[in-house]
Amino acid sequence: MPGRSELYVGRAGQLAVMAEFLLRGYNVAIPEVDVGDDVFVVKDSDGDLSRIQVKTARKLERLKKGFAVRFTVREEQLLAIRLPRLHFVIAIREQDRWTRFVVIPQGILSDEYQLHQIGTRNAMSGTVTFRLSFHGELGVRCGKRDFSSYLANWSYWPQIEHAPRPR
Amino acid sequence: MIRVGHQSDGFAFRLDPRSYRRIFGEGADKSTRTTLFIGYDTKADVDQYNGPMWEQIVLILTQLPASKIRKLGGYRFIDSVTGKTLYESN
Repeated sequence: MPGRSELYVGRAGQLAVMAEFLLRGYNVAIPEVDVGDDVFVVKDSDGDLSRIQVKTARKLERLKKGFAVRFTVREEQLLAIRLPRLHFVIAIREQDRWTRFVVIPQGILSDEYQLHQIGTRNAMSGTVTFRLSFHGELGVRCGKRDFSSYLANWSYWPQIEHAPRPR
Repeated sequence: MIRVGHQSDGFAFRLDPRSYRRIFGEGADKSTRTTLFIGYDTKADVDQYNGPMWEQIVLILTQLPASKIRKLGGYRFIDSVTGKTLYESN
C-alpha cells in the first residue's frame, strides 16, 4: 500500500497530466472507481476516447550525466489488448516542478517488454518495473532501448483550437 | 501468433511482437503495426468464430496470402493475458 505522501503526489501527477490535456483542448474525467485507468480523455467534437494511466516519479536516481526513475505497472494491464488504447504517462517531478512527461502507448511498451526484455518482472506481485534514464534535455532510455521519441509525445492528441464563445 | 483481447462488445486482435518482427522485419514501418477490432452489438463469445473468420483476421494483420501463411507454419490465436490457445490452424 502506498503511504499517504505517495497518494498526494500520485494525485498531483494525475492532475498535472489532466491539465496538459485540457490545455490541448481535450475534455478529461476521472473514473469513479480506480480499476486501472486514471484519466479518460475525450475529444468533445466526436467522443473519441483515450485511456490514460499516470505514473508519477519524483524519487530520482542521480547518474553521472542525468538521472533515472522507476515506474511499475501490472503485467496484466501491460499485456492486455483493449480498445480504446491505453497510454502510460510518466510524470517526472524535479526541484518542485513537473519537468518532463513521457507518453508511451501501452502496445509499444508491451512489445518492448516482450521483444527486448526491458523491465523487471515480479511474479509474486504480478507487476513489471521499468527504469527510465534521462540524459541531457532530450535523451531517454529504457534499458538499452531509446525512448527519446516518447518524451512529451502528445502527438496522438493534436492541439484543438476551440472557437470563441459567441457573445 | 495472434494475441486476442476480449471486450464486452467484441474482440481486439494484434500480432504477437515476435511474429510481427518475423513477418515485417526489425525496421518495419510502424504503420503496419495494427490492432484489429471486431465488434458485436450483442454479447460476443469466442466460440462464434469459425475457421474462415480466423483466417480473414490473419490475412488482414499479416498482409500475407494464405499460401504464404501455411508455408510459415500456420497460425495460432492466444488470449493476450492468460496465454491460453483459443484456436490453432492445422
